[in-house]
Amino acid sequence: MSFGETSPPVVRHLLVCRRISYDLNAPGAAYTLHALITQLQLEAGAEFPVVVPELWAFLQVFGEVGEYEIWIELAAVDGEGEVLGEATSYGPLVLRVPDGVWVVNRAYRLANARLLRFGLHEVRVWCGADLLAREEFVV
Amino acid sequence: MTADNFEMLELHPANLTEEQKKWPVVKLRASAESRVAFQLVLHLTGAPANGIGFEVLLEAGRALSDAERALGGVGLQLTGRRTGERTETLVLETSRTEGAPERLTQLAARLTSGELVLTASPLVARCELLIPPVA
Repeated sequence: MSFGETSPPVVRHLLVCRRISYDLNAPGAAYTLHALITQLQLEAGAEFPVVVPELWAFLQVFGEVGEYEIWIELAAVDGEGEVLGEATSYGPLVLRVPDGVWVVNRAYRLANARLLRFGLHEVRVWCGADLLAREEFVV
Repeated sequence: MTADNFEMLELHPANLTEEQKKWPVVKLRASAESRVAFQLVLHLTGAPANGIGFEVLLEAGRALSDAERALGGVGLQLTGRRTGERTETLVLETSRTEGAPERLTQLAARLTSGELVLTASPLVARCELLIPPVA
């Protein structure tokens, strides 16, 4: 849900990884994503449900100038994308799309991520009832 | 660069049940990406009620990064940011491990002594070092 009457922003990229760093000396190319996740491998012997201390989500969006309230959600899903069990929500976050900026980058550290089970998971970005982006990985 | 066009932030789950709070914490399997991290954690306090602008955080981070380069490093990378009650915490790392403990120790000492001023804003800055023990 945006605060104004604008359409929700468009997500160009949503990526999930193990760490993100920001180079303070290279603002034009500052973000480095470390270890993009397609399969999340836990230490041997882990029994679900578990908490992973951190995952990172990188978001790159563009859209109409304005402020948007967004939520990030982490959930186990089935093959059709239906949520299994309870999703973990992070937010609400205010995402500002300022005037004169081509894309907006955000790096979010998702602390204490809850994982219910082995299998398919998704990180989803919501703006009100609009699902802006989803990224899958396997646990 | 303004506060509007980038941000790094730590988020915590918004809707945990009491049962979920008791789930065990597990680590991810080690990977080649695992590394020895020499970190300097910068705490800024005295923020205005509406928070510290990201320009100010950048100013502080870059001042430390420039000082680290002047000591023979390659500059610092921001690898974490936490926002608290009128506080901001930045986690900064160096990717050049050779000599890193000495450089970061010097930076911390200069900051503590007031020789190194990070920001023109009236914030209180202090830092702590996270230097892995030498094996």
